Amino acid sequence: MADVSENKRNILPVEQVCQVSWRMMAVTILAVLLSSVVLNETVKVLLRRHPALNNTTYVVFMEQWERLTDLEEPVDTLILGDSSGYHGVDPEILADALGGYSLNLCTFGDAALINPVWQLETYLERHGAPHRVILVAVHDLWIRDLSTPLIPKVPLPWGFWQRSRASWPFERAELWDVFVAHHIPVYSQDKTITRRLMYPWRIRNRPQRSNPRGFYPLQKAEPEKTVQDGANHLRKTAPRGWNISEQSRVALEAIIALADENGFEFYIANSPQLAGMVNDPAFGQYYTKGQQVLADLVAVSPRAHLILSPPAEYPPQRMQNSDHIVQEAVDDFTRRVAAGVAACEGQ
Amino acid sequence: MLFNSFVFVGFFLLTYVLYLSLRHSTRWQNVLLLAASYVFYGYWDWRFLALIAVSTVVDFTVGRALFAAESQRRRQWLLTLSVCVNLGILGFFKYYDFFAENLAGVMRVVGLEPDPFTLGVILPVGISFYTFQTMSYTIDIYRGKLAPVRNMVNFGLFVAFFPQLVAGPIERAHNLLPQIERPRCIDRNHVGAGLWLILWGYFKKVVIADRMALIVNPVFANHTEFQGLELLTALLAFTVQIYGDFSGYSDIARGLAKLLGFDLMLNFKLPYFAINPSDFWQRWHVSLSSWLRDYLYIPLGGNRGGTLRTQRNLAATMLLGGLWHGAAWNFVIWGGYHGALLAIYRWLDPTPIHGDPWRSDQPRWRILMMMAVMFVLTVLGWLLFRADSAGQIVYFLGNFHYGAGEKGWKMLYTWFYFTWPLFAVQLLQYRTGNLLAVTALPAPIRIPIYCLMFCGIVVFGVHESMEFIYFQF
Repeated sequence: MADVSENKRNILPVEQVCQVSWRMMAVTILAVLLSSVVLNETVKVLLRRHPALNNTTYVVFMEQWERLTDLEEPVDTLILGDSSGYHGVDPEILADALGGYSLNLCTFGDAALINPVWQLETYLERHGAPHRVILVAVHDLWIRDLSTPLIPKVPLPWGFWQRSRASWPFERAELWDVFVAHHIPVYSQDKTITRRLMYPWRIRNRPQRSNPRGFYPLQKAEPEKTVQDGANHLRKTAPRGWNISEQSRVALEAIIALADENGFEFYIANSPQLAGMVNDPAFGQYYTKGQQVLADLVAVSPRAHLILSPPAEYPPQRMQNSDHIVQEAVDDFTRRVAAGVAACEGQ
Repeated sequence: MLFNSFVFVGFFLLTYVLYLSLRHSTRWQNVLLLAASYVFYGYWDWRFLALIAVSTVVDFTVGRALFAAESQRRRQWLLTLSVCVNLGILGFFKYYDFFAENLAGVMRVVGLEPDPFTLGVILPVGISFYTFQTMSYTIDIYRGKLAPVRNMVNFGLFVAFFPQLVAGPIERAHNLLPQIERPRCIDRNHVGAGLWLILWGYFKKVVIADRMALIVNPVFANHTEFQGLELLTALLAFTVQIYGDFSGYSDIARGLAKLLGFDLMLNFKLPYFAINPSDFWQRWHVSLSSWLRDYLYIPLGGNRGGTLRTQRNLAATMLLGGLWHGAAWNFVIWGGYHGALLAIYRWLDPTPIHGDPWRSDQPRWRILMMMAVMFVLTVLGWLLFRADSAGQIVYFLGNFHYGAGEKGWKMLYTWFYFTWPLFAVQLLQYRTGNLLAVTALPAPIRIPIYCLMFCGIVVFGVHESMEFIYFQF
């Protein structure tokens, strides 16, 4: 409440409008717009030339794609899928168990199931059919759709998604996101840039890098976080019910069709799972429904198989969250995958 | 429609192009602005346009009748009608549920078990702002300070002018109506100032205030998980957030108005440089504080009638000012807290310094101390304003001293990182006494500042459209 007393010392700041010409105003506006364009282009070049400046998620995604596009020799086993496979399947152990050469190209859940289709098509185009493809997937990967800002990070010519076997009709708003992500990184990657600018001394701390075979083991178990994550899945994921997204269905059908046409074996391997979750009545019901749908989908082709169903379970002391195992469990999980594959191929 | 949304940017550009194309006809420009204002408001919820329309029609009609009325009794009756309609709408939509809940609570205390009688009324955005604005019109006509408007469109535009419709400044009829009625000149100097205000307003909102919200919200949502420096930083962050948010909105509103050829009143005059409570209220939300002064405090008797009456008037005005902010007890307590501060300061110093203390004979250290004390008191006030419960206030006050962990330092660093531009610009404004000081800098300094701010908005701006805090009031 303003005091009403007269006071000669009462001098408050005011607005003194300055003289400005239209020309100076135009120059200022142009300078402002030009500076933002220069900043954007600089960021674009920096992110391209120094991938480590990107956030970890993008770095992983770009690394795995780079590994694929730089691949000179064909491989026997191609491992695709989400982060449960990226951290859970060691290609060297798999190769030891199954023979041949294995390569892990798993990324993470935001890439959904359509990114593995693009990876597989790129591989087939360059090297022909591998002996087998293993898709490692967490139970809720099937429900998800691709995070469209990832599209520009795929090193393929613009519009590649329309030429894919799993051609997906992205909506106009999603394509706008793709455009923005591709051309305006200062806007689309603002969180990354903010972090780099706020903590410039951390730029030297390079984000995680997987080994030459595309596998990145997790070192530290986090039992408490794992139990909490499992409880969240029981509380939130299971009640929503298991419904494969249309995009995932299209992607899965595309992979199966590619398997038939190119003559390779295709395996869906369920991710590792926190012990006991599947025994929960609600989660068990949810999980079982998912397995039935997947079993029906793979049944259309003799080359498609569902393995590790029920899933391989681990105690929280060997996990970082409810579907990510740490290194000491990798050998076991990878050998279980190999055993599942061997069992199918031995039939 | 939020200022910080692409929809609004498109809406304004389209409106502005049409507006400029009608530059030869003030009448059609006003029709366009009125239509645009209704679209702007209706985009949120078209049903509540009826409330604005009712206020407009009632006050337009009452204003004319008041002017024409010859007997004092009829004039009083007409004014009462206008005040009752306006406060009736405001009271129902904003306070009905609050009073019903509290009444039910009191009834339960005395052993009655009333049936629930709250209605879950939706609060129309900006209702407190446009209600006060339109009430000032009829009161000023009643007081003989203003002649009524003849044109309904012009009056409709005065009530609903979109740049300041939902969060102020609460304009006065004697300032805005003449600008609506006369042919306007879009002066290049005002356009220049307007563009700066828009840029600075957006920077304050999407970079400073919204970044502060990322510190504040998690702490106030789960306060018991934080302590020591984390609590202190959250409170400082809210202090910056509420100022950046609200003054950012005011700056954008005033900047847009300047582009359209209007000059809206100043709403903020560097409030955190205030040296006493009286000074603070001359700088903070000036359009509300001066409204309360002119239409509540002075009619109650103001500072005439002795110390006790003055204190009573201050307390009543500030309590109602607090309640204006929202139907919750913390706002009432916040208003009461500031009323108490005003009363105590007035008792200690009957002629407090406002504005520029450096021209007084006070030593520098004393001025800085006064500024620091007032800032601390203001920050404590924001705790009352933001807290969800009395328990939260007690927790904050009881846990400030629990040291600083890594998380606290990280929060403080983030606070500093996004607050220093505000401090730097305000220091320049304070030193020069000119709120447009940046526009007066030489071009080689000014233009890079504009560029940095624009790039800052693009990079650091929180993209998810966050509502302005004052929309809820």
